Amino acid sequence: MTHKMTKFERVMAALEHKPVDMIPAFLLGADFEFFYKFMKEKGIPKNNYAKYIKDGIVDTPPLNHALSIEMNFDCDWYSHIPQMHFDEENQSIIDTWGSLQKAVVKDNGIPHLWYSGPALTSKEKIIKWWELGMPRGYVDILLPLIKKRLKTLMKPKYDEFLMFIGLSGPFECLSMSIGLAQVSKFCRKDSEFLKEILNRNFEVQSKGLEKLCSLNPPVIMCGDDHGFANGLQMPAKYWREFIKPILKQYVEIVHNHGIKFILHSCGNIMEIFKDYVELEMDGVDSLQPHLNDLSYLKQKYGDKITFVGTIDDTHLLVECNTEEVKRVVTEQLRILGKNSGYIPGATNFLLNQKVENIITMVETIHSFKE
Amino acid sequence: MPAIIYTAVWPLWIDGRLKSIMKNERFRILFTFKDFPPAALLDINGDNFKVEPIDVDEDIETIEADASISGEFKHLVEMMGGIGKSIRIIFSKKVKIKRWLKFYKFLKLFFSNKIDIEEHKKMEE
Repeated sequence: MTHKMTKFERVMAALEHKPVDMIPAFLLGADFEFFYKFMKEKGIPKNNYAKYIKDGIVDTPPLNHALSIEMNFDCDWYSHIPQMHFDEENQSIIDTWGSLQKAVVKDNGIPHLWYSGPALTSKEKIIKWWELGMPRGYVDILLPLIKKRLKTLMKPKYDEFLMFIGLSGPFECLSMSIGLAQVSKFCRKDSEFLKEILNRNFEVQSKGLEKLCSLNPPVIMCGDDHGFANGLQMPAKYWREFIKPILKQYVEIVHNHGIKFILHSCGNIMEIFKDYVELEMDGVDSLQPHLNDLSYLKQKYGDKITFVGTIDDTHLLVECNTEEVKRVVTEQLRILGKNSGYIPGATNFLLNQKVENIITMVETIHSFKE
Repeated sequence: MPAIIYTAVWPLWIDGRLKSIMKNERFRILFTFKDFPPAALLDINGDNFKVEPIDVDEDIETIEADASISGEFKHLVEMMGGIGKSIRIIFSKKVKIKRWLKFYKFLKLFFSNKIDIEEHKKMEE
């Protein structure tokens, strides 16, 4: 039997495939809608919330660490924000890569911030973007705040809660700014230009990564959705030619600082999972169970890479009852929890999931005995 | 800008901070960032709030507000770094504030631990 671990010890042990006192649980984040539901249905005790505000761990969704603590997760994520500008042409927010972001208020009054499409829809627009001095970088003024938050969450009063920090990966910055159609076209017909975009982006991304590493976080997690429901967003051949070499440098920068690297990628990523292992990533997050053969991946690569996420956020946690959640999560824990290397959680940001299902999920994860 | 201001204030309404600090006061703040139009008029009325878009080409001076902030959008983002950071940015005159004391009250909303969730819940019921 392992001694009682702190959250930090538990997560790090899972990433190193060492025994854990209980399996740790991960939260990618909780969006406005879930925050609203949680506060209405459960709420946060007044004294706790006052403490969270005083400690500076209450942030705008989906980056609300107070919620992660209150739901007893062991770790969550903060993604460093790229610089934002106003795009005259689209009358919208545009980030430093050239992807459009929208802040909207839904009919029920709940706000929502999300990606709304690519702005650099032609080669001319991409070149013009560079002429404007883009991409510029991240909102680095927030770095001291991130450092302080990492330190605060690691205090004994929060049982050494671990915040993964990170930024977007090379594919996401590319595809969301120039669009998948252009990515596909440039892969086939203008590969040098595609490499130039990726390299220009990486100049900025690598500096951002170095700055994050200088905060000395235990774990860096980068978001780069390579998959969609039926497979990869770009053919594996092109992914290996254009994206993998940049991703390799991401991992190397992080590992050179002695920090663990986790990749968050939604969708079906079966075809390139072995590449993630080859790149020596410490963990992969999301791993939607209905899109990926997780028992096969665990059997083949389970001793080399940690599985993060894996609990269906679209059907199980939204539509099923707590009994069903308990049954399915336990079943997954039996398969994926073998020999450590497992940090389960919902496969995406919490949005319209039932609050009681999330609480049940975390309780089931923590009470599971192999 | 209006949706961004709404998004920033909404969590304070949900978690009860708005009610705790503002009590039953009415309070209007104008946000004018010409590089990020349109301008936004935040109207807090006790426990409720609304945000209206204002055309930046309009004569902003004629808009009735208890306080106002103007400048470049990037400085508003920098103010997310905490109350100390916000005050430094204000004193460096990177942003222009009208009726500073009123604006400070608004700023404190984001960093205050005075909350009344129970009261907020009762009001909702």
